[in-house]
Amino acid sequence: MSISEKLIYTLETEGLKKYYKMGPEIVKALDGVDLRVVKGEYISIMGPSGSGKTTLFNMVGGLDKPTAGKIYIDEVDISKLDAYELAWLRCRKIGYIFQTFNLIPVMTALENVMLPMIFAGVDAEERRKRAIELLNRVGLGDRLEHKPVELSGGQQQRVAIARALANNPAIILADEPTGNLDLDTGRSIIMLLHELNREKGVTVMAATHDLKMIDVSDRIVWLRDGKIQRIEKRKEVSLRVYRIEEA
Amino acid sequence: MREREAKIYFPTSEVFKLVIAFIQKRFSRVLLTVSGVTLSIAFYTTLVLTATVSRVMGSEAGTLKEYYIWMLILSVLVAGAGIMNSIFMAVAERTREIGTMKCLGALYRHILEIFLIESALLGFIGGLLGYIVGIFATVALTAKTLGAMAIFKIPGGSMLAVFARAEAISVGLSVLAAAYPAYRAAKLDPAEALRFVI
Ligand SMILES: Nc1ncnc2c1ncn2[C@@H]1O[C@H](COP(=O)(O)OP(=O)(O)OP(=O)(O)O)[C@@H](O)[C@H]1O
Ligand SMILES: [Mg+2]
Repeated sequence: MSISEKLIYTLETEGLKKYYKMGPEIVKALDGVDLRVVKGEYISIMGPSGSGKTTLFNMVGGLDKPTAGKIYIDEVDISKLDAYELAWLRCRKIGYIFQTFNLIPVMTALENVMLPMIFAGVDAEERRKRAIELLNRVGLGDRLEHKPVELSGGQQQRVAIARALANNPAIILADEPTGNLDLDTGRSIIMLLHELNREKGVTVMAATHDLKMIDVSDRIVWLRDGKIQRIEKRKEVSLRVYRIEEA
Repeated sequence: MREREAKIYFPTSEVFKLVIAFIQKRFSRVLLTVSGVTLSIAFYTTLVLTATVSRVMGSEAGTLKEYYIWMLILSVLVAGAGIMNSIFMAVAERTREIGTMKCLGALYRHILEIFLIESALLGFIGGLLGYIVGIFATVALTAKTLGAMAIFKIPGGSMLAVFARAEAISVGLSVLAAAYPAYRAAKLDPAEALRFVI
């Protein structure tokens, strides 16, 4: 097999478990998840409320520690990393997008996008240049000096997307990125993520209850009660949709 | 991990820039925090200065009486509680922000640096303002009995010593008060910090 045929996995999990102890009860938020995400893929995590989507994101994003199992990002086992290496991973390898945007409130759009580049050691001039480029790319070239409160929800999420891309991450993790947005704004955010995925080859993993995500996903992972129920390729999904339309 | 390139940066100059930006942009919130510190230090300064004025003027009240020592201890306690409360709340309410910064690559010690430097600065400003307010309060309080100019009888060295002690209390307690919530927030897994609500 030639090297070019070998699949590169940006993300792999093996027997990933996360249990929460709630008094005498144990909540199995994740209960043995095996998942492989190929470099450049756009993957959607679907599932009802409480199925474990956010928990999965926190685990693979190095934001919380699993109870058991392994997580590899770019073939590095992140459970073996110390605090310093984890911070480095969050800084360089992962771009986070949250339902609640999570911009730093006192910083302008530009400063928010520059912040992760400070930690990455990018020099001030380059930082500024790159942040402006990214904000232009997400359509906010005329909002550089606006603070989060002076931006609409959709615009805040665009800033968050630009910030997530700041250090050229291997993977973007988006937990319900459209959860706080109206239908049209949500769709435009999804389209933007999709375009960036194609354009920059950045792997995207997005959680949602939102079926319009299906159009842009290469694969859809259905979670239920902390387990993967099934994984569908887009072809299968669109084929099914097509058949339904045909019938 | 690819050792050499795996490096996180946060030069002190950037820490200071960030802290200054935080203070400037949160100005009204900062004002509230600083006024808590200012009031506490003003109370302390007034107490010490009125006693000193009386002493230099050879007044009865200036002799080191037991009640004066108790008042002094009390004033430090009141100042301490006021400062701790102001700073503690100001840091605790930013736990989610701390979570976000950790998602972007901030290390535990970066978070501590940011908040300790910020609180030291706020403590210093509050201490300075409190000292000035304390001087005016002392003048007002002693004007009738000892004359409006009485305060100028205090030697410069003593004034400076009072200022130094006021700043030491103010900066010291501010940093101490910030340390615990900042430490707690910085140690949290980012997932928990992001979930945090006051
Ligand atoms: N910190 C926690 N402590 C205790 N239980 C938790 C905690 N976080 C999540 N859980 C539980 O784990 C399960 C999965 O939660 P999770 O937030 O991952 O679901 P989700 O799929 O993201 O749901 P939603 O679509 O509503 O965001 C739920 O039953 C939840 O109650
Ligand atoms: Mg969720």
